Amino acid sequence: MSPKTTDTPEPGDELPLAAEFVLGLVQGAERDALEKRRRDDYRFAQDVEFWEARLGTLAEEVKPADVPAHIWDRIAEEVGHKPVPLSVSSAAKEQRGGIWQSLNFWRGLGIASSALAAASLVLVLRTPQAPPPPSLVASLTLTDGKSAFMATVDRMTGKVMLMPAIDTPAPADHTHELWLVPVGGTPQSLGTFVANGPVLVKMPDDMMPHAGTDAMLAISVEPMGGSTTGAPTGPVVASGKMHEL
Amino acid sequence: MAFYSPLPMTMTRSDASISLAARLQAVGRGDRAALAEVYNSTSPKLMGVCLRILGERSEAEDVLQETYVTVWRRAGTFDPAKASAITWLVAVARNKALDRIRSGKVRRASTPLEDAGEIVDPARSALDEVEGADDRRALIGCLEELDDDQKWSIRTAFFDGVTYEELAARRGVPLGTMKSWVRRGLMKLRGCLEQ
Repeated sequence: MSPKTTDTPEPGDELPLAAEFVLGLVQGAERDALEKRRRDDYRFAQDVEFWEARLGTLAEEVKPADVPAHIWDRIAEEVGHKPVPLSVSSAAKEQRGGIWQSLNFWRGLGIASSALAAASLVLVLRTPQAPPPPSLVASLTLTDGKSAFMATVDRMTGKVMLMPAIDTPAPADHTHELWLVPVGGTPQSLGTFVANGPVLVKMPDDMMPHAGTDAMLAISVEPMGGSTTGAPTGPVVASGKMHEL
Repeated sequence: MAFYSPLPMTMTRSDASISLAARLQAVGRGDRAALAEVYNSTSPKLMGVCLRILGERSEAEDVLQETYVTVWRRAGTFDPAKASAITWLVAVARNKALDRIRSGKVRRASTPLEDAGEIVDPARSALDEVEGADDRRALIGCLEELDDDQKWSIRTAFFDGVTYEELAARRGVPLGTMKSWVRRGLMKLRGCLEQ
């Protein structure tokens, strides 16, 4: 470095190594060394973050490029978005296989450009031709308010789709049971399920009139096979009100 | 962009930025639906970033995949006080792309991607405009204080992810000259950004 110009760093100044690392100006062993320093040296890591936050705004000038749909499939598979066979009792049995055996559900989510997960889910479910009753959507939250499941109810077909947002395994020797709680009514069972992937349930026709705005979906912990009393016996781990989209 | 209130009172476009950060934080808590949303709203941009650096579509696609798998695992470390969600995501993508070059799997053309031209994206999304708007204004202002060689070198290094050696070759200047341009430029930039 020439010491002759006014903006030459003072001798005591450090080289802008963090910025060089962020930009990728050095490669090979030098880059490896900086990568290691980033892990080991907190101040250097802070410097890297400083530059990433500033220089990263240049990406605004980069043209977005088309992304083929299969990329999302690969990501979904790698992060454990694998759909699982249903273990929903009775009504949903005929729904086994088909779409849940494939990655179509997640492909659909990946393609949908909507900002709302709920909207994406419904796009996948059905694109209505005639004006049907609007689908219902609910975010089922844990007692601490954390969103644990997203659910949609297609009121044309009675299909209830339940998607775990986080891992909420049932205790050993127990299972989860899904309930529709009508406004001012008592809970009605939609079946038991294993919460390790998307679940599709067919709501019995006689329950459909109760599925409306402000009715709730709730999930309780039950003995294997489900509640024998017709009402939730274990703790309700997640619940949420339904809203029209 | 004066209409962006720091405290959005209504459903303005500011909400788009708040929710991207919120969604990224949700990914950090293991929210799979949030990952799909973050992917939907940001993957074309990150694809553009990777493609520009790697120059080859199949490589860029692989790196894009690695990027979102890494986002899934590391989103818990995203701190909205330090970076906007989009710059955090861009940093993950660029690092993955640079790692790919480091691994020797990619043999890039040594010439600039002329077809990419001057990179400006005329149809910037609301998200881009909101995210990191203050950081971006500061950076653009400070870059303007650098001389043209410094500015060109730093911008090209960012967009193309190229080394000092490649920058020097492209400009036909000795390596030492290029290092000097860039380092002085970066020091000046840092001083300006910290003011």
